[in-house]
Amino acid sequence: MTPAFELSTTAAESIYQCLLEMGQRHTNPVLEVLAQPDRIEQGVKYPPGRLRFGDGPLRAYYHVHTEPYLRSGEHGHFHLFVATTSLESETRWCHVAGLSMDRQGQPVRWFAVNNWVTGGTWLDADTLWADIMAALTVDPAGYSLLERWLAGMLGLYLSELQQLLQERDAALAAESAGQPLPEVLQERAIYELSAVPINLLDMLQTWLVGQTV
Amino acid sequence: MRRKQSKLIMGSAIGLAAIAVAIDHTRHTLPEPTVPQHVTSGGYYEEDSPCSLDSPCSMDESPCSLDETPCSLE
Repeated sequence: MTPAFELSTTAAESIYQCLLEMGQRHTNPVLEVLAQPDRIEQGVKYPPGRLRFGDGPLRAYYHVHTEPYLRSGEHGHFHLFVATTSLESETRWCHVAGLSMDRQGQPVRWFAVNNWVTGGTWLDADTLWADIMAALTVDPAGYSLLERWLAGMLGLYLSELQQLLQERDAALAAESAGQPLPEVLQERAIYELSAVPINLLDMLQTWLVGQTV
Repeated sequence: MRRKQSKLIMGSAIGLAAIAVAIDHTRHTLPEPTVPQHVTSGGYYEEDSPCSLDSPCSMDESPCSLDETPCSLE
């Protein structure tokens, strides 16, 4: 088995266990991140201090946009970041992807955005994917239920994330039209660069059962 | 080929129905987002503040921070 295959298989099992635990707690990934299950404010990042994954190489938060950044069919989204040491000795945070959630707290799609949207260090798809792979080898023993679910989603969708990031880079190259990369990364007219839809039932079925609906 | 291998490993342990039920048990309607009071009263707001550097998804705790490292101020 390849490392990616092993990670995805383990992630599928982890996601399933997370779903069982959330079901028992009458919660879901978004409700897990809210201090009060009946209250969320636009423009506020949840939780305060961010999800820190046991101070490992992942960070995440959830938020809900206002106009003009609202998306139809979306309640809000998680943003996931990974630490990289590929450029310098100091740790830098890189945006991995956004994870859109519907109004029932279910994941609906991954998306990648331009650098000005999230800030942080920009890495090409291959370098970023290697950092994601490295982050997913960290022992999740210290992770919360939600952190296990998010890390599991990254692991389950490794192949799709690789595609997402490659399409992100291709879209950016197409948009640049000869403009220097640092300028394109700050171009406010370029917001979302790529997206991949999510069907969690299909995905878990593929990895855990191996059949098609 | 890879995914057939997955079936051999896990197929007998978890069925499709069990997965569907597990997902369904996490379907809960989320609260409708509200506009923060300090916004409606004309105060600071993350996404329209002139100090936000136009980064609606930035991890920076402070919208005016020059530090890219999201958790360095904690």
